[in-house]
Formats: sequence, structure tokens, C-alpha cells
Amino acid sequence: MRTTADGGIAVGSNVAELGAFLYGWRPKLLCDYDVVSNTSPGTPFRGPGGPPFAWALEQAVDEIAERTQTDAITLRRRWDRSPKRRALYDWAAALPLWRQRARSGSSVGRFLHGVGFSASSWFYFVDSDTCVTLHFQRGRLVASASVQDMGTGSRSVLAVALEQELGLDRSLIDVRIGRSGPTHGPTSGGSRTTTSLAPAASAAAARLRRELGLRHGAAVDWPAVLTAYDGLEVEGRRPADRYGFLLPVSLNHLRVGRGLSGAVHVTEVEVDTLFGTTRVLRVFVGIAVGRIWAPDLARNQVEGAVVQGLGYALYEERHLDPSSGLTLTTNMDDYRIPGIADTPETTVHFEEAGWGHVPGGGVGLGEVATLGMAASVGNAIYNATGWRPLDLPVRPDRLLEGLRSR
Amino acid sequence: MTFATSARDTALLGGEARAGGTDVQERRRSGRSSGPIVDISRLDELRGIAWQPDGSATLGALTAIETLWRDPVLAAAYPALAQTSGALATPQIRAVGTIGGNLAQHTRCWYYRNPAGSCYRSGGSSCPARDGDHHFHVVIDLGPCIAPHPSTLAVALLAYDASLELTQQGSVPIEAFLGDGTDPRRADTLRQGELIVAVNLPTPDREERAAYSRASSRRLADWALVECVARMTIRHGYIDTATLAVGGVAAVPLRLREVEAQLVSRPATAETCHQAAAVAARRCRPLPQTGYKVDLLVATLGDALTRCLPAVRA
Repeated sequence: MRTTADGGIAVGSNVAELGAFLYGWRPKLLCDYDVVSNTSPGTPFRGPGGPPFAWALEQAVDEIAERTQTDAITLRRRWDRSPKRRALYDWAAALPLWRQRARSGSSVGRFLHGVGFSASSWFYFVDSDTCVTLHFQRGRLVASASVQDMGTGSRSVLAVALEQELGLDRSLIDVRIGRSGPTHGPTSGGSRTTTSLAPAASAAAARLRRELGLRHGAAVDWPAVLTAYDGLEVEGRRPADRYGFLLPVSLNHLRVGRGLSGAVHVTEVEVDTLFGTTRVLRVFVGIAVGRIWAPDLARNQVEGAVVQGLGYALYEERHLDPSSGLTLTTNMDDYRIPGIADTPETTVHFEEAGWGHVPGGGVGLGEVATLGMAASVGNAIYNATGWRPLDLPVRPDRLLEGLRSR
Repeated sequence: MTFATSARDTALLGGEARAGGTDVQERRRSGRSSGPIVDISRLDELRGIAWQPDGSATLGALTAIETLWRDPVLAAAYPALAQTSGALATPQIRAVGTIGGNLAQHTRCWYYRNPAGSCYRSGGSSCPARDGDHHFHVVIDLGPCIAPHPSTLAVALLAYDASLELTQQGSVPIEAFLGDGTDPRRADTLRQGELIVAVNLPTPDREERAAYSRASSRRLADWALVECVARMTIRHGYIDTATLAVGGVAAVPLRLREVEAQLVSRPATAETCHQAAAVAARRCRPLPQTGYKVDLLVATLGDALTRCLPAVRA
């Protein structure tokens, strides 16, 4: 794979590089080029480099499947030895939506239906220096961490971990985040917060039990204990993984762990051949990141990833004035992202096995959940129309032109 | 900011009028509105729907867009207006946006709205979109400014030959209010400090069949790439009257009388509709990046017209 990135004054495109981590370890030719111009810098989407990588690779794989008349999931399953992703392939292949999909280009009429598949993988990053502090304060357990919450549930993840470790009702826990304390916390990025925070909270809770001489699972009168030991404070640190991390060094607290996460997207679209519009109707997402600490919030994050990914496929586009370089898309009117009416019905499936070496058994999902979404839209458009979209976003004008070229 | 106490006094207060604020507030941020604001949202004299003795409706300029399709009596009398109103922007914008504000809003051209840009509309002496990125711009080139008129309601009102009640000029037909699109500095003929008081609609036609068709990439909240309002009456299987107005294609919404002429007295069939719709392409003079709008114009016309036909029994 050779990629050429136009990121204005931004450099460091890593799109092709990601090809090293999917479909086996045989030697591959992967080249990334940056074209530097004096326009404003492109900034990364979620999972930097991942969505364009998947857009290119997963459509290419789809094309190979078409030309060799192989089922697109069977083909990937043959190439991909990862047990985690193989479990996802089996799940996706059994979906009625996939089993009943029509031959590409066979749909007729004004509205064409199609189903597309894509697979993706992402790194397991962790901040192994993360600490969580527990403090008994006026009859309540106060958990503090130097972390921000991007709205996806760092608070709930901390509360869940403590509840599970201590058997303490969540209503007695106060979680304090959003400010820098004396202890170190993870950056909210690189899908690392949950897998850094939750095991640190569990470690703090285990330490608390030791201090109090409590056995795991023993019935405890927590309101009485919290009052009796008012002022007690313990700190827990994120334990290292079994067998250690992939790289022996940390880079500004970031560590690369062993194993790659996986995701699959099965997406149904309806293409309006009259107006050139594409509606994403249903999406099934399978995620293999091990244990899910807070299922409602995890599902919510995956649903958000689907919306963002379909926006990347269909709407998001930076327009610059060709002569001055002025950014024209400077407001939410001109820079299009999906609205509520563009949001599909989304079903999320979690494969929780395969991460036994990680304390707590789970890694992050923020990025892997969105990487392949746009590619699955592209493959679904191909399945619906028999025309393969190569340019992003798939605007009405491009779709109409593509349909004419069939 | 001052609050106007009457429509006639607003001009004396010497500021820019604000009703729902969905356009003005955005321009405050982008620097295309910087003077004092005269808030007219509390002027009760501009509010409400009045039914005239001849059965026609007069809509106060502050009537919310949402009301235009939620009001069952109004929607039954003016189905084309109702369908159009229910399809534009988002429910939230329709709830605060007013009919007067929708007509008087400024162009959404991204060169005009950019604080660093300069164009005819912002007092400059050129149109940077013409040689720049004009993907969303016109396909029927009427004058130096190539931004499409942003008002969807104007398209529907044009299809009804509505007239506007203005504080200084009195009653003005909508077509005259919008102008012919040749003056690049403005998208309407409102004078300094002038307000739209009301919209006068014609007597309803109980036989009217109507449809609104909108091509846009997102389902809601997108400016129409091309939009079309069709009104039709059918007698004994033949098209008796047809009125067509389109938006998104020119500096002002346009009546397509040449297409209308291809419909009247012809059989009310899908074939007639598609043949007539194709005629609209002759008027198009696409810019380098707007060629796709020719297809969308013919598509929206064909879609709206065929939806006016009686349902074909399977």
C-alpha cells in the first residue's frame, strides 16, 4: 500500500503503516508520503490514519472477494489468524442481514439496497502509571483520579470497578475527576482510559480490603465501616500486564500492550439513484476488546463511533479556497456532520474473551469502533449499485456521476 | 439592543431587526452583523394568521415556520406551503425561525460568511466563489453573485404568487420583492430599516395537488442542493393548471414558466411530467463545479410533479 497524504502543513501520515497489523505477518510493501503545502494543518480523526486506511484496504479486500466470487467474510477469515477477530467473523457471517444480502449490482429501482462488511484492528495502549486514590470522607467513599471525562463514562467505570471489588453499593461512592491531583492519571486519548483506570481502581480497592482485613466477597456493613475509619486513604496503581508489555519502555507514560483489538461492521444502506443520496439504515458492530466494564456506556460509545464513521463516509469534508487557501468550512453549517435523522439503527455485540493477560481483562474501544465504519458504507454502496466509491465523502454529485459510469 | 414597540417605529431605531435570530445571531459571530440590534420578536402586531372574507390567509411575519405546517386549517388550504415548511431546516429551527426572517435572511455563501472573505454582498467588489470553490452555488447564472438564495419558503410563496406587506413600500408581489438576481449586493428589495409585516396568500384552491421535493445530502439541517415546489390541478385526466418554483439553482428562487407550459392541457401522466421536467435543463448554465445540479433540477421537478398525480392503482 502506498498512500499520499495532503494534510497542509501537517506531517506524519501513518495510513499505510497500519497495514502491518492486519491479515497476517508476511512481508508487505507499505509506504506513507506527506505532501506538504502552506494550507492549514489537517488534524486527526478518531483513530489517526485508521479510517482512511480501512477505506482503502477494506474496499480492496471487498473487490478481491467480488472478483474471486468468494464470500467477503470467508476471505478475511482465511487470511486473519486472530482468534478474537475470527469470533467476530463467525458472528457477522451468521447475521441474517449478511446471509440474505443480494449479489452486488443486482438491485433495481430508484432505491437500491446494499450490505457491506469491513474488519479492523487497533493497538492496545495503556497508561501503566495511572493511580486512583480512595478516601473515606464523612460516611462516603471518595475515589479520585487525575483524568478528564470526554463524556463516555470514566466516572462510571471507576464506580463499577470499586463496586465489583468491594461489594459496596454505588450510591455510597463519589467519583472526583476533571482536576489534576498529586497522582498521575491517563490522557483521554489512544483508547487508553478505561484499561488504565479500572484496574487501578481495582488495585486501590484490593489494598483497602487488606488495610481493613476484609476478605474478598465478605459481607460488610459499609456505612458503619466508612464512618468508623473516617479519614482513611489508600492509593492503587495500575498493575503491569502478565508477561509485561509489548515494548519495555513507556513514552510519556504511554505503553503499548500485547495484542490487537478487533472490530467488524456490517452495514445496510439505501441509495437513492434519483438524488444521489445514501442513507445508512442498519449497522451491526462486533467488538473484541475483552471485558466491558460499563456495558451501557460502551454501547453508547460504539453507537457514537458509527455516527462519526458514517459522517466520514458521506458528509465530512474540508473545503479550502483554491487560490487563497482560506478555510471555507468554518462552521457547522458548512462542515457537515450527521444529524439525528441520519443515525442508523445500531446493534452492538461484544466478544469478551482473549484478554486474560490484561488486569481486569479488557482494553479500550473508542478508536477500533469507528475505523471500519466508512469502509463498510463504501462496500455497501458497491453491493447496492455495482459502482465502487473511491473518493470521500460520497457526495450526491459523486454518486450520480458514479451511477452514470456503470 | 433595543426592543421595538411597533413595526413602523423600527426604522427610527436604526438597527438591524432580529426576530427568531437564527440568521442574525450566526452573523454576529462571523462579523457580518455588527451594528445595534432591534429585537422585534415581541411585536404582537406581526404575529398570527388572519383569514380574510374571500377565504385567503394573511400570515403575520413573526409566524413560526413550524406553524405553517402544524396548523391543520392552513395546511389544508395551502398544501404546497405546508409540505415545504415541514421539510426545511430542523424542528428546533422551525420552532424559532419566522416566515419574515426566512425570507429576509442573508446568503449562506461560505465566502460571504467567512470573516476573512470579501465579496459583493459584504461590500467588496468581486465574487471569490466564481473562480473559487462553488460546489453549492448556482446552475442558472443570473448575475455577478452566484450564491443561491437561501429561503426555502420564498420558493413556496413564489409558487403561490403571494405578496408581502412591507412597512415602507406597502404591498409588493413576492417576485418583485426577490428581484431578478442581477444585483449582487442584495437578495431582496427591502429598504434600510424596512420590515416585512405580513404575507398575503391567494384564495385557496380546493382542487390543488401539491408536492415539495428537496435534494440534500443529509436528511435534515442541510441547505437544499436543489428544491422544487409544484402545484397542479387536474380536470378529466388532463393537467388544468401547473405552477412550479425552484430554489438552490439561482440567485433568486425561480418560476419555471416554460416547464409549466409543457404541462398544461396535457394528460396527467408520469410521462408528461418527466418530459416537461427535462425542459428545465435548457435554462441551465452550470458553473465548472455545479453541473450535477442540472441532474438534480430535472430529478426534483420530475419527483415533485409525479407526486402531484393521483395514485396509480396497482
